[in-house]
Amino acid sequence: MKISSRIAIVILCVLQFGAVTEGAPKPYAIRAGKVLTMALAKDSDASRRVINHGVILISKGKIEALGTASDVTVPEG
Amino acid sequence: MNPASPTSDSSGVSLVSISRAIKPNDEGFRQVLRSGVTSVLLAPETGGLISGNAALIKLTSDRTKDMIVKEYAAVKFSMLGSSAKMTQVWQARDFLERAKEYAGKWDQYERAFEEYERRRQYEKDKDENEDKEPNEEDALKEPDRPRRDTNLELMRGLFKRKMPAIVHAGRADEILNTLKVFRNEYNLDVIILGGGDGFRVTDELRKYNVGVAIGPDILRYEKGKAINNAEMLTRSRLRVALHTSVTSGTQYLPMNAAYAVRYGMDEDNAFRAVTIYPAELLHVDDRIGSIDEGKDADLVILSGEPFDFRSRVEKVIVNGRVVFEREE
Repeated sequence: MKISSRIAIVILCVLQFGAVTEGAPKPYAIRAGKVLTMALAKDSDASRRVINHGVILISKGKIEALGTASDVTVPEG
Repeated sequence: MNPASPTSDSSGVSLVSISRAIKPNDEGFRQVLRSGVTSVLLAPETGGLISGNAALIKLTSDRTKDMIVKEYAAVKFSMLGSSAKMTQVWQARDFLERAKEYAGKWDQYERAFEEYERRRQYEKDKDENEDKEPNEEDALKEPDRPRRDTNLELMRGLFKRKMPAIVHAGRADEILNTLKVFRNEYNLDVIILGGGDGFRVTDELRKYNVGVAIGPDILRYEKGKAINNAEMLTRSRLRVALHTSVTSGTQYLPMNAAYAVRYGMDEDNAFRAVTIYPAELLHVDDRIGSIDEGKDADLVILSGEPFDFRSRVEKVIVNGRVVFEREE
């Protein structure tokens, strides 16, 4: 299980102008100082949009779990 | 030649998928990826009434087919100059009318064919159960198949609202013409591209809840006073997507967002304008546009706040793979 730590995480999609699986890496987790999720765009739940000391579990090219370090259990390995 | 000329036969013009033009290992794509942009909508340059089909891709792979998120993500039109040339409006109506008629015929045919197949199977099962020979006279008539037109076929998704029409319009009257024809008359899902005068027609845009893709420059000047178009539109509760192009430098998108914030745009809205709003406008928010459980693992790791010019892109992850890592 690879764990990396950085300050902020964002995702960008640009309005301008994938498949997953094959050879996908093993599940891993990212720890970040601040996760800017942009989840629930129409929601005012700020705690969900910005997660401090967040953990993101990634498996098979998808986000498997998301939350604070205390919420998300990172499997060993 | 105007590809959408109402007097020409559309079969003489090919609106093939733009995805065929993708070069997966293009250095330009890598440069954009390094700036923290994970997905782009690839569309043809504006020209004539119809520019063509736009494909949504991820900048991720050595193979085109693995890059495509949505091959037919939108159709790009232009209403630029439509205020001076009323023929532009007539041409748009004429083309959409033909496309709608085509879509209607094929929808009707496909429904009829489905029913025909269902009944044919039913009759077959019945004959077999009753151990009867099929009766030629009672045979069901297969519905007549309409003529296939590859170009109009591309437009069918517009009328089912499976994809938006991205319409290039800058001046207020061009935006109003677009709303009237594309949104009001043909009930299409519309994104205004450019939208320089958007702040002048916020009520009309709001009435139809139409998204606006603006940029790279979001500032307008009136009587020497700077107006932040992006801020004005978001304040009117409109979904704004920030837009850059190959010409203006797609890789500068994060800086353009920072620029919008510097001139008064709310940080949250600016961030949405490069993430969840474009994803929503392109109907792909179930996969990308935000970090959430079940969504694609497309992440950008920054060294600091996203709108701080000093922040560096440390790592870019697409579909769970690290596709860029900054070297020390």
